[in-house]
Amino acid sequence: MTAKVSKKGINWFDFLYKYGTLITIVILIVFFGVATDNFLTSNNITSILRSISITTIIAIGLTLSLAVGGFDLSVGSTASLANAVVISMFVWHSQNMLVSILVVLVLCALVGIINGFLVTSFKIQDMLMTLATMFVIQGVAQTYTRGATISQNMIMPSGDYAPGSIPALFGQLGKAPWIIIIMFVAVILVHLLLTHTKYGRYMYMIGGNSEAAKLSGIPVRKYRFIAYVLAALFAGIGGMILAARVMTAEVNAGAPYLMDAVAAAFIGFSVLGSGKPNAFGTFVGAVLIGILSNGLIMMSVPYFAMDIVKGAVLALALGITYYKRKH
Amino acid sequence: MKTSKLYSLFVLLLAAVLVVTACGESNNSGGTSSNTTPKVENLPAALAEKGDIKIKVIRKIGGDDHTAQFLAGAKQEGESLGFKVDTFSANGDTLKFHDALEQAANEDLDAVIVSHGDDATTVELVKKLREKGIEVVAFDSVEELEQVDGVTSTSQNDQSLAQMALDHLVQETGGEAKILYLWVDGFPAMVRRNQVYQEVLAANPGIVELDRYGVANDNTSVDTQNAVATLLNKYPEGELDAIFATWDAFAIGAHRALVEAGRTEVKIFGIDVSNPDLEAIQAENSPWVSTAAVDPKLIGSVTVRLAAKKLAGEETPVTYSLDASLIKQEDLTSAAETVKMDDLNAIIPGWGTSDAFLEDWMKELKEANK
Repeated sequence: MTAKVSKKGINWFDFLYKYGTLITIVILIVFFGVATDNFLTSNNITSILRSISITTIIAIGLTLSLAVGGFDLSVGSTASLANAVVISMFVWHSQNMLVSILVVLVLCALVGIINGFLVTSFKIQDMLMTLATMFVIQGVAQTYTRGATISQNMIMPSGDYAPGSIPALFGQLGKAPWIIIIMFVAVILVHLLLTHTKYGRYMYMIGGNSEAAKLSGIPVRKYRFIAYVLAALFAGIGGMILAARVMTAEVNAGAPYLMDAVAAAFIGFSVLGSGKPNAFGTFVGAVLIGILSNGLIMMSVPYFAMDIVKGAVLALALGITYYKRKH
Repeated sequence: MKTSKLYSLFVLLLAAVLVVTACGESNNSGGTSSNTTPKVENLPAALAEKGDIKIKVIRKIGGDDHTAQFLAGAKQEGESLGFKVDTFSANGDTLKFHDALEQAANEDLDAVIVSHGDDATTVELVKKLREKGIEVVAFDSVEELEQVDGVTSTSQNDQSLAQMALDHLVQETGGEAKILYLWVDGFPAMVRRNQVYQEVLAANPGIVELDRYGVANDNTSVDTQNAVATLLNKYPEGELDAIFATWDAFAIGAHRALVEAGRTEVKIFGIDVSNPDLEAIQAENSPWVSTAAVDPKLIGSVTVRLAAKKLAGEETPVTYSLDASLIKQEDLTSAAETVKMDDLNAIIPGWGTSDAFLEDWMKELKEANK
């Protein structure tokens, strides 16, 4: 009798564990759909996807670092740097789109290489190491922009106006549908990489037990290194998309995305019971946060109360994930 | 070897003499200027005694164009008077801001300009500065600073900023409008703007607030953009007429959201101005029809003048507020070229020029330092 009850309990938890996040999203959609008139319009769905795209792209980079058992805290700063550099390439240096984007990607790869080198060379926790580089990169970005906003027609230190302008085509990258398409491409690519290639399997093995992975002949160092380079590249892409959306580079513009990205990636652990970082889950996590923000604004809930809800949802998702792991 | 050194020294001296005499000829009235401290006839004795003047500008908020312009204005004015001006922005970090004030007390400074000191700790730190004999001028800071002896509190005239923007809103909509209110609590300037808003709402029953939003963080403009995009879905075409944005970061976000959604029939009435703002206002089909503002560069200049007067031992008021001007989209678009911050004085009467606290000796000092 007792065995039966406990078994039933476990099943129930299993079900919640697998589908809890998705059910939450469905409940929220139904709730907001009923409570407000215009939540389920195509315009509003576009708004939600647009508002989560930058978070998702940055969170995808973070997910890759989590997959190898790391934690790249510097993704927000890297996004700030990418935002500042890409706008400055246009506005200060009058470069074309190809050159500007390439410069940013090379720079972000360099950031990833530095992160990768530091976390694989020293026996310091990834989170602490990238906390340090987070400050360094943030400082580099601020020094580069002289602590000011970069925008078209800004006044240069020489007293003249900045010569360049931002190409309209670049601005399109920050508008629907492109911004949403780029997000989906990033999610699908990383999903395929992690689940359908041997590289992905190796990365998960390293994340699961790096000692065991090493003993079975996987070049752990190399894979961790690559994961950090990819994380920085995705953060850079996120930063550039942010630049395309706002067409300016504000100080530390990427920093606020770190916490949302962390939340999205960790909610993602619980999606479909994977229990590990995964691209689809991260996307679902971002959707959940996006729906919450959008729906609560629709219902005229003040923004400061929204953080309570966001935090509570994260706690719930983590609770479900780690409850399962223990039992 | 020795002779060539002597020769170059001689050339250098000759050059110096030539420069000095040339300067003397160019402004006979202003007196001659040596390479260190220029002599001005009417220079107040108190200021002359102090020798080289060092001023530090410490601002809590940062990263925005307003900060850049404010700091540039202070630096320009100070340097034109022959002072050494250092600027610092804490980028919104309260602790960094307090540390900078604390540090200033231990530096060899003559005056400190405090911008956006919005808490009780600022008052304590300013008291410390005063104890060290450092002159203090504050901008957009807490009212309690007025109680501190010898401090002048300056502000933009928030009353007139909000009144001008809202008067334009009422006038453009004929007093019948459904609006969004973008405002954030917790800043003295915002509280003052809200008072005017409540009065205007009470006086114009035709103006109805549908919704409000506002957040002040590192990401204000993008958060506002996302929020306004959502609210535009909530209020489809015809249900929303205007947006009152009490800060340009809000207006910029709302502007992007309206353009993104193709809802430029909704008009934005804003407060504050910067180069990116002017660009947004002048963009084709821009929904941003007007913004009320005080020239941030001028605020920087006037605060430095007040500090200079204090250093000269002259009398200064406890408070001073700078009057606002209304910048209308139609005035900008009727100009031949794209209007930037520096061109505004040609278009908006009285913009960016004020001879408030500009004493004769300052003019002479500026002349001498040219």
